[in-house]
Amino acid sequence: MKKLWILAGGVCLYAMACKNEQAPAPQVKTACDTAKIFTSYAVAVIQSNCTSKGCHPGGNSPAAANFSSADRIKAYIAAKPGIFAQRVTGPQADMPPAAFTALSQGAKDSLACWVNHGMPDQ
Amino acid sequence: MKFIIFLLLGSGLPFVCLAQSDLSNLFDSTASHQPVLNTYKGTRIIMGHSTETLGKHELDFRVDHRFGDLGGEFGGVKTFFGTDNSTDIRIGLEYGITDKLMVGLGRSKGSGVQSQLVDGLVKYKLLTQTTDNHVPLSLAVLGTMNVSCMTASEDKNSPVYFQDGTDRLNYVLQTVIARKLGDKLTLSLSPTYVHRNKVAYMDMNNMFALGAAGRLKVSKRVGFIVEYFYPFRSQESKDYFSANGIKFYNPLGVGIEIETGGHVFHINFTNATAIQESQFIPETHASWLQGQFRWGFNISRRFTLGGKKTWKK
Repeated sequence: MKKLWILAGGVCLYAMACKNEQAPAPQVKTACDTAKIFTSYAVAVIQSNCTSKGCHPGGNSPAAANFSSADRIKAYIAAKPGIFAQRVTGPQADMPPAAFTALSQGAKDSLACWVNHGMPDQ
Repeated sequence: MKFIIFLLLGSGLPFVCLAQSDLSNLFDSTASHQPVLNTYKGTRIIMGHSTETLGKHELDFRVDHRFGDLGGEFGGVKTFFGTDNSTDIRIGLEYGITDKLMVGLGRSKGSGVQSQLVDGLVKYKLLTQTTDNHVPLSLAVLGTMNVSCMTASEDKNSPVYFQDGTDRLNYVLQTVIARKLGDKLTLSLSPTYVHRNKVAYMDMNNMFALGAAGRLKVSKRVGFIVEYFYPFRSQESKDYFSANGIKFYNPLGVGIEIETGGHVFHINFTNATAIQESQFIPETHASWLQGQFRWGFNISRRFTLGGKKTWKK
């Protein structure tokens, strides 16, 4: 009888420590996690596709979205990040307008990545 | 689930069917209810346990070793066919409390997600096949538990990020059913349940497996052995790991068993890198077809304790 109790105790101890735990899903790293994109690149892309066409402004409207310098680009994006994402880097982006060459997907992703990283200068 | 239960229950059926035939003339002894001896030569077949247990007061010192890949990318002449590497090593002491009950303690390197394992085992031989077929098969039940002593990972997504001690525990419950057919041939099945307290994302905490093994005795001291395990891993888990470049293979081992006095040598070739059941059943990533098999050996040296007392009596 004593042996039976010892056996039962052993089985209980054995079972008590049982649990089912699974490690959380691994974080999938995107290209943006490792990419290093700085202000100089972003300004070059924006100015060659937007400001150089006479808009934003180099000269014409919209004056509110003034991309004539790095500081002004940063100030605009900081104030209206949603609009910039929607119209420039997002899937429904409509800028630059259809009359001009569209931004490549790589350029859009790079700009979005730069914004997501806090628009670093270096 | 039902399929697995049916399979586990059904795994003993071939032996029961075999029992219907009169095989008593295959055995030497004509006395009734005499146990069939040496179903296997040792307590292990190749990777898994056999139905054999140690005798009462018998102490078994064991060294199990698995080398690196014999062929493939990490094998060949540059590693002298795997002998420069060892994938797993276990050193253990096992003891027979009675002729049917044995316990053991061991330390192994580990070859899986977890390493540095300390293991304990209890094996009880419930049935012993008899020469007159009164008991048609031998049956042993095995319980093992191991704990990993490795340094925990700091990465929360890692399966070895241990929040507490219980994360380090793994369990195995196994039934080994064997039948010796005549003097030369032994066949066995090993329904196995593996439980690991913490696993990687999309891995399985609970896994059933079915082992099958056979031994063909070619001389008084030498036998050929083969052992195979089929783990029942879910398709969902297989697909997830496959998409991440990780494939699982079923452990298969072939070997030679040599008995020389108090020693039993096993020289074997397996694709399994690990020695512990909780690792080689769910975590074998090596393939025979890609040359990722290795040679290994199990050495067992038995001592009889309390022999003097018996002699004095």
